[in-house]
Formats: sequence, C-alpha cells, structure tokens
Amino acid sequence: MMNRDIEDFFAEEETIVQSAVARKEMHTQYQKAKVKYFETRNAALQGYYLRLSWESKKKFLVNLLSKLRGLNTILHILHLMAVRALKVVTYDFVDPNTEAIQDKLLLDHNRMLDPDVLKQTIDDDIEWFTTLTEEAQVTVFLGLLRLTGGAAKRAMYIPVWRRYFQLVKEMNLLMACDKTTVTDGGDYICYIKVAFDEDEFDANRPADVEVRRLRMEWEQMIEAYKRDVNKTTEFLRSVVGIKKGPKKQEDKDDKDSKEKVKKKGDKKSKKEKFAKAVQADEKSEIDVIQLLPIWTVKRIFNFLDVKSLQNCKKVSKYWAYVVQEMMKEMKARQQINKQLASIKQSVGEDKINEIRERLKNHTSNVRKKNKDIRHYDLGAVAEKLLPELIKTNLKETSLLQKAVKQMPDEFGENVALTTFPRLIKSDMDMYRFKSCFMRDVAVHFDVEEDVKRQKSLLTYSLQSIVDSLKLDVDQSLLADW
Amino acid sequence: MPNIKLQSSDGETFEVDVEIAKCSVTIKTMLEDLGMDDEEEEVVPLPNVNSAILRKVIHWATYHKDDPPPPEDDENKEKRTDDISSWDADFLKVDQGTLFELILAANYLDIKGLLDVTCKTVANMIKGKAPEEIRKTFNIKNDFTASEEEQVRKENEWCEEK
Repeated sequence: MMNRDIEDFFAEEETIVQSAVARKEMHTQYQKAKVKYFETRNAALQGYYLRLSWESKKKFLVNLLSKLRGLNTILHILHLMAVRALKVVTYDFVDPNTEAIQDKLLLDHNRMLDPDVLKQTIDDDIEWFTTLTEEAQVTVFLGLLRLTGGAAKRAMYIPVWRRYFQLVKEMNLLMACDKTTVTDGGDYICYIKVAFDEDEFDANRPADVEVRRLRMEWEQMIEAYKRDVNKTTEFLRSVVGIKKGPKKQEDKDDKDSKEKVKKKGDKKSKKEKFAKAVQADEKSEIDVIQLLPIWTVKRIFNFLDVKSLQNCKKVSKYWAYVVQEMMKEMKARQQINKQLASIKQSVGEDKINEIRERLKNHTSNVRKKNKDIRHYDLGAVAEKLLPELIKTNLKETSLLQKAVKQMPDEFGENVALTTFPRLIKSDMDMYRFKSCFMRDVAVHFDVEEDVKRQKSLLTYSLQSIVDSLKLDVDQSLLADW
Repeated sequence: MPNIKLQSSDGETFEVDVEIAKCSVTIKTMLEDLGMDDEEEEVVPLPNVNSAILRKVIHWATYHKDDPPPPEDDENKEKRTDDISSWDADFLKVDQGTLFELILAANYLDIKGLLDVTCKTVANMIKGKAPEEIRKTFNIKNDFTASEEEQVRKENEWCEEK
C-alpha cells in the first residue's frame, strides 16, 4: 500500500516535475523562439533598411524615435550616441575592404521590394517596434543607427534630443496633473527644465532681434538691386537688343575744348566708359540716338536741311556736338573735293583711269588688290606706281595737304584732326576684325596697334611721295596724316 | 542657287541664298576673305544681330535682291528723304527700338540700301520739327543750361549770316 502510495506519489511527483520541466522547456523554447524571432525580424529589418535611400532611412529612424518608450531608453541612446559620436564614429564609416557583408551592400534606393510591399513592411515593423520591450527597442534602434553610419548619427542627434525634450514635457504635464513625484527620469526633469527650455527661446533676445533686422535689411537691399538691374537690362534690351555696349559720348565740356575732348575720347578706357554709361543710366539721359555710332547719326543728319540742323543743335548737347562736327566735316570734304577736281583736270581723266587699271592688275591677289585700291582711294600710292605718277607732272600729289592749307581759318591749324569721326574703343575691336568697316573712316589715328601700323604705312608712302617731289612739308604735319 | 547659313546672336540659323546674303558687304567680304566656297556647308555667325532683326533684314534683302547697286555717296548731290518706296515705308512701319536696331544691323552688315532708307526714315522724323518736338519724339532730355542755349542760338545766327 505504502509502496503503492509512494509509487503513486512519486509518479505524481514525476508527472508534476515532468510537466514542470515540460512547461519550463516550453517556456525556454518559447523564449528562445521569441529571441530567435526577434533576431530574425531584426536581421530582416536591417536587411532591407540597409538598402533604403538616405531620406527614407532618416524618416524611418525618426518614425521609430517617436515610438520609443520611456525616458531611460532615450537617455541610453543619447548617451551612446554622444559617446560614439565623439569616439567611435570614425570607425563606423564604410570601408571597401570590410569583411562585414552589410557594408558591401549598396544603396538601391528603395528598389529591392515593390513600393507597396515595402511600405507595408515598414508599417508592420514600426508596429512591431512599439510592442517591444525597452531593451529590445534600444537594441533595434542602435542596430539600425550603426548600420546607417556616422552621417546618420550626426543627423539623428537633434531629433533624438527633441524627442527627449518632448517626453520630458509630457511628463511635466503629467506631474502637474497628479502630484506623483517619482517617475522615470524625474531627476533629469528638474535639471533639464532649468538648463534648456527648448522651443521656448526668448523671441526678443537682443541678438535675435538684431539678426532679424539685419536679415530684413539685406533682403530689402537685394530686392531693390534686382529691381534696378531688371529695369536697366529691360531698357537696354528694348533700345539695343544686341550685345553692343552703351556708348555715351561725353558732352559735358565739348563746347570749350573740342580737340581735347576728341583725343580724350579716343583713349578713354573701357572702364571709364562703363562708369559713364551707368551714370547716364541713372540720370536716364541716354537715348537711342546716343546709342548709335556717331557716323550713323551723321549720316542721318546728312539728309537734313539747314533749318532742321539748326533745330537739332538746340535739342541737346550731344546733338549740338554731332551737328557741329558734321558741319566741319562737310566743309573739309567740300574743300578736298574741290582740290581733287582741279587735280583731276590738270592730270587728265585718262591718266587717272590708266593708273587705276594698272593698280587693279598689278597683283593677282584679290585681297591685296582690294586693299591697294582702298588705300589708293585714301590718298596713299603704291610704291611701284610712283614713277608713273611723277611722269604725269602732278605737282601737288599731297592734295590733302593742300586742302588743309586752304582750309578756312576758322577751323584753326589742326582742322584735319577734328574733321574725322572719332574712333571709339569698342568699335575699334570691330575694325580690327572686320577691316572692311574702315571704309567709313577715312583716316585712322593712333588708337590701337593695328591703326599704328596702318598709319606708319600711310606716312611712309606720303613721305616717299613728298621726297620724290621735293616738296617742303613739315614732318609733324605729315605724321598727323 | 547655293545657300548659306547665317546664325543670329541668339543662335537661330537662317538659310539664305548666297546672292541675297552678299548684299551685305560684310558677309561678302567675309566670304571672299575667308575663301569660303559656295558648296561648303558653313555657318556665318552674326554676333551683333538678333534673330528678330536678322529676319527683317533678310526679308528686306530678299525683296531688294534685284535692285541696281546703290550709287556712291556724293556730297554735292542734293539729299532727298522723300524717295522712300512705298514697300520700304511699309516695311519700316515699326517701333523706334526696332528701327534703331535695324540701323545698327545695317551698319554692321554694311547694307547701304537699308542703311540709307532707315536713316532717311529717321531724318523724316526729325525734319521740320521744333527742338522740343524732337526731344519728345526721341525721349531726349534737354541738358542745356540757359547760357548754353543762348550760345547755340548765337551760333545759329552766325551760321545764317554766312
């Protein structure tokens, strides 16, 4: 009986133990399964998290952050982040030679899964994250943080802090409601409340006010500047529409010192001209006529009768200047034409034509020929043809010289210099590249290297003519020509 | 007829007959100087002319392609401004900005006929107008001081005496 009882007892005991063992076994297995599940899920999470784009990663982390429970968790994370940010972060950068498989995976910008599936997975995981214990949350969060690398740690630092303050605030509210004193992180609350009161910086701190004022000033200035620039460019575009820089002729002091102004104008630097143009814009004194090249304006005025010209003179200083210049030029030309006509008469039309023909045929090079003919028309003479010219008993070859000598006194000695259109520097560029424009300008002065060369050529040919004809001509006068 | 491509400052390309393009002395000289063959597919860049103006210039040149070459300038000849053909007058019924751009383009491209006709148009705008009217027409500011104005008046008298 006893035996049996004992047996029974033992059997009972056995079953109890066995069931307990089984239960324990089951429990451990359950725990193991739970841990395993956690690990697997975490690994899976990390697996796809790694391939997310940077923006998605950040969003994901911030999302997780909002689901974190308890101040301690966040404090723990913050602590680790602070330490790691300072010390360990350098080791966390991805190294191409690393052994860890995760480091070898590249971002594929959310493309490893169908977008909808991915979204669902992320939502599920975030849901799952909220059910985790605090320790598990920390593990998951830190794991992800580690995977993201140093940059994420820096980027997440502020959100974590923000979340922390938010929690603290909530807790403060709770405490105010029911005087329960001790909660998680209660000690920190006081400290933090004193030290930082994030989001509640005094809006009227002097420094802030100053910064705002300066920023406003700056923005206003930029606005005003933009308006100005737009206005100017619009205006210029409407007037010119092409890349030509505005040319403002000086008209301030042309009344008293025309010659000086003329020479000055030639040598004027681009910068000065620009400054002048700007100045002119500001005063809005610039008009379309002034934007045209001066000889074009002269051409227009050329079509006008005397009465209209006199009216033009009264319009503005610049117009008066142009009209005056044009009148001088016209008078000089008339003189020269008269001289030319008389020379032609004395030499005879046939001879001139003959020379012209010879000039045309003396070279097969078309360009050179054109150039020579051009120079011939300008008064220069090809050296080859000199003997021919002398044979024609041409007494006054230097007809321009004579024209100058017979110029009315009112123009003064340097009339030759003033009777030709001024060369403006920007236009000189055009002349340098497109010599064909030189037609408009009868004689060139020493504005640019190129012109110097041409001038010396002219001087030389004139000099040789003068020498051959034994004419008594002043050297300096020759150089002017 | 061979064609040539002209490119405006804003990058638009126009294909025109070489003969028409050659009414511009600039282009003509360029072609001669650079020795561009007619068959060659060459684009001539015209950095000083925008597409709107270039289109107008080509329009003008196409209409006037059969004109005789314009006579040489003669100072002694009386200048007339009333000999603008009705087609040209119609063609030049544009705003002032465009007109001046045309002058600049004609000046740059060295198209004497177009330059003449545009200049004449502007001259007609000036002709027979009082200084104040001229200022109003071209939006010019009177920058004379009283004494300077007096001086101009005197100079004009002096001119009349002569």
